[in-house]
Amino acid sequence: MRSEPRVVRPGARGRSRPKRAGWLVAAGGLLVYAGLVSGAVLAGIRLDMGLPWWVAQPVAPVICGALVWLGVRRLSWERWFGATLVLWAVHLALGALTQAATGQSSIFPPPPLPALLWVPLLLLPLQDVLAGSRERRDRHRGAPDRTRVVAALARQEPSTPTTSGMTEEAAPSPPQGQGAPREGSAPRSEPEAGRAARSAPVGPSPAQRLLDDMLARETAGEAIRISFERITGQLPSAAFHGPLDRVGAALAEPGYLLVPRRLALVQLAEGLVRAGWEVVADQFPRSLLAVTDDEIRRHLPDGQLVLPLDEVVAQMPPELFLAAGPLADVPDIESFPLPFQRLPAAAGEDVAIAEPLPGVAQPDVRVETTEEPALIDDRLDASTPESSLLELVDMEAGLVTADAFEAERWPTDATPPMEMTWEPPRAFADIVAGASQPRLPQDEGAPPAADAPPAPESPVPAVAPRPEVETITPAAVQASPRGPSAEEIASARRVAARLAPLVPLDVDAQVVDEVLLFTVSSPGLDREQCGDVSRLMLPLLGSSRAPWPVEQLTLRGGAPTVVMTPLGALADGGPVLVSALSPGGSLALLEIVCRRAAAGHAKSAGRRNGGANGAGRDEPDVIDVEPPRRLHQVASTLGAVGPVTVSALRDAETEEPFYLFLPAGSDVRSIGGFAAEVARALRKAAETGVVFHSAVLRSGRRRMVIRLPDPGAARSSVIVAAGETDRPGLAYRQVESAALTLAAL
Amino acid sequence: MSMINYAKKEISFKIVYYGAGVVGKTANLQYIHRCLPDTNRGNLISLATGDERTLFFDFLPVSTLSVRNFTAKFQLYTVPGQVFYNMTRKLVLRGVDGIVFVADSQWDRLHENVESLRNLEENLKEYDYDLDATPYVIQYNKRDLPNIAPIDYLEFLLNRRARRVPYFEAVALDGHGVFDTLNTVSRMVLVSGFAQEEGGRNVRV
Repeated sequence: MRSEPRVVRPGARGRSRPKRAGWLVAAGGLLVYAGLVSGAVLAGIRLDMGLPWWVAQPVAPVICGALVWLGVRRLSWERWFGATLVLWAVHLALGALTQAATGQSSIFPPPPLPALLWVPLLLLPLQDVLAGSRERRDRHRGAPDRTRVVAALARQEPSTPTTSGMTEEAAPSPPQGQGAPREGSAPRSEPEAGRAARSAPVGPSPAQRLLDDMLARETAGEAIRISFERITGQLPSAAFHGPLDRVGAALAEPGYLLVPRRLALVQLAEGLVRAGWEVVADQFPRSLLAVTDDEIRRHLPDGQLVLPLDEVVAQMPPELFLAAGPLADVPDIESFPLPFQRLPAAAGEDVAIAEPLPGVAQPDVRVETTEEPALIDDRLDASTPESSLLELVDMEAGLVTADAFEAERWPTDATPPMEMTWEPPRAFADIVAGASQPRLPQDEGAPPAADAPPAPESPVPAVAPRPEVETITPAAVQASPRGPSAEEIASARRVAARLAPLVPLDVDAQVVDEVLLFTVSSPGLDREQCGDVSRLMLPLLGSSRAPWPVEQLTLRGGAPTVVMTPLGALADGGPVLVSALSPGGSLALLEIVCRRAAAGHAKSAGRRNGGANGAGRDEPDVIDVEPPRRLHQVASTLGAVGPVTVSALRDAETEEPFYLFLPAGSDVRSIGGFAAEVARALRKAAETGVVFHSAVLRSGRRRMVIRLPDPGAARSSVIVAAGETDRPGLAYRQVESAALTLAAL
Repeated sequence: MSMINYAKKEISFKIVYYGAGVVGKTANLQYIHRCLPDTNRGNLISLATGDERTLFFDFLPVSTLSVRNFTAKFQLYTVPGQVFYNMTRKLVLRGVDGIVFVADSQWDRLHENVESLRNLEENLKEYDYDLDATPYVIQYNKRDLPNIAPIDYLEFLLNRRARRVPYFEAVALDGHGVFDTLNTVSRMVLVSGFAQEEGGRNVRV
């Protein structure tokens, strides 16, 4: 076992020197004091103030108190009082001793002089003790440069941004079996230990041990040099009087800033080394600073300068980076040939095309080659986390491939016998889970009969994540005007299977108003609520209500987000695919896959859900009103849906204003009436506990965003924006911004 | 989790390319996709924005040679590197058999690498996976750029565990190091997969 290195707290060396000097001064002062008293006695001089007794007595404690107050600033009252008492007690003791030594008549309390000549010197060595806090002392006293740097380091260490908000628990832990304190590791101080635990992304290794040892040995005396010019860009532009080169030349180390090496060491494992402004502030001539320290701190992220890592690393001991342990030995790895090999490059190509390797079984799944991966239009906004940007990507082939890979995992006739179990007949649930289970007769489309004979079923392997499946009641299916067709079932199954890598889904089927609903939702969501919402919104998807054929309706802003996609005409009983996703789920992907399912259904069924023109709906119950002037200001921010005109309506029933931003020539009243119906439905949904703030209707390239006011907003107007767009995600965000703007205006 | 189809004599693995944003994970898959013959690969699904940042994930199924009378199939995934896509990263990690941690070699990206490695371990823990028990390699990408950190320091940052894992210098756009990385992690996965199979811990379907 190695000897444990002694831990030296940062700044220990710097602090001990002034303390020793203080004691030396005090001791020397005592000798001088003794000499002075002896000389006075020999000379027959009486060291006395000549004050009356009752006046002389308070002099010593008053002077002691004043000295403590001046010498150790910003003390608490308690500490000041205690320190004064200590000094006075020393004064009394010294005075009594002096009287005894000189043979003078004993007076107690002794007079202020001569003891008061020496007692103040005690403040020099006792200053730290009296102050009680090194930080306080450093903050309020003018510390010498290095001491101040050390103090800054000591203050900064616990808050050095090494974890970026990660919790201790979240930080990586040492490997198994390595969690206990390592043999030979230093008993680090708490902040240091915590830092090491947080900062080390990995477990102990020779390099880690060396770093720990260096940290334990390192003192603040050593500094690294950082080029001033490399950090000037982080400082406020008007931070200095005069040009930067003049400032650099005037630094304590011309052209460089000095940073304690220890400060860099403790952050080295983070790939980011920062130093608080206070660490370097004293190296700048105050006369050249045009702003205060606080102003500079405010300008810096977290009040810290990011140091150029290459300069930092270059000044670290090279052995630190050479101490990596041996590479992992993977036994038997050589027993496997290289799985992927490149053959010599073909002419004109920078990469080789490999021939199928001998013995390689041809994949059973043959997919069409995509020579280049599909990328989204470069006009799209990279910051959009979820949007219909993805609709431009052709996912079909790859997903088929993924499905096929999954499908290949299932047993065939050649599979060894497996234990068979039986569960009650399932219809849609089985089919959705079809990718993970052998196909049952019901899979092929026929709705199960309640008295269907038992069929063998293989156990679901507890392996890759599969959609969670809930058995629907046969009654529910039988109540449908017609059972789900094979194509519909296949569409729904594909939706669930495709989303399986991203979102585990519960699947259900129900009949609402003679329309069959396939409900696909994240586990844990209240499907009853989803059903209630669907029931409210379903009439609005019909051709007689919406101004355009509704391909998809997305309700956002609540938990969950609901996507309703008609797979067939509602007049024919649908079906409608209702997908509910927990917040944070992959909404855009869900929308895409749902639409693809709808397209596949329409193709196979030879029908389309469409033809909506609003012809069958009643005259909208809305009143034209004069649009406020501020709407024109907001209209200019809705560029994603193209040029729009501004109009305003009022719901005759609720008196709620509707602000509409529509392309010129739009049927404002028709669209406004539809928006009013959607708003009412959303409000009813809110009464059931599901609150949405937006409805996004999709019809080809056209989008209509209906944005309800936020609850509690000062102004309660509904915003309706519509138009053709290639940037639906941006359009949605612009409407959100407009809602905020209008609420603020 | 590796899957073995005894009927078809196939074994399937999932390998995830993990790393911070814009470190070159997708570039790895693109190069692999370009270099493998059609018969050995499926389509590369790449969901990216105009500035080539991955949304959701990339996916490339590849098949390879016969290993111990089994055809080995690998599903290669990338994750979105941006911090706010952690849910997707977690989902993609589910059932992972091997990991390629792709790191950006540039000085100013090092902290993101460290954070990403930490995030990887954190996400694995949510599935009760242990990074030390998972076959993985590190790829130091973008070695052709001028402002890069030396390998020694990168190793200090990212490969400082008691069990150091293989690492590779790479320029994914040019293909340098891409197949070395893939082959090594694939073989590590095969070793692990067959070891589990021999231990009877694998799933028989």
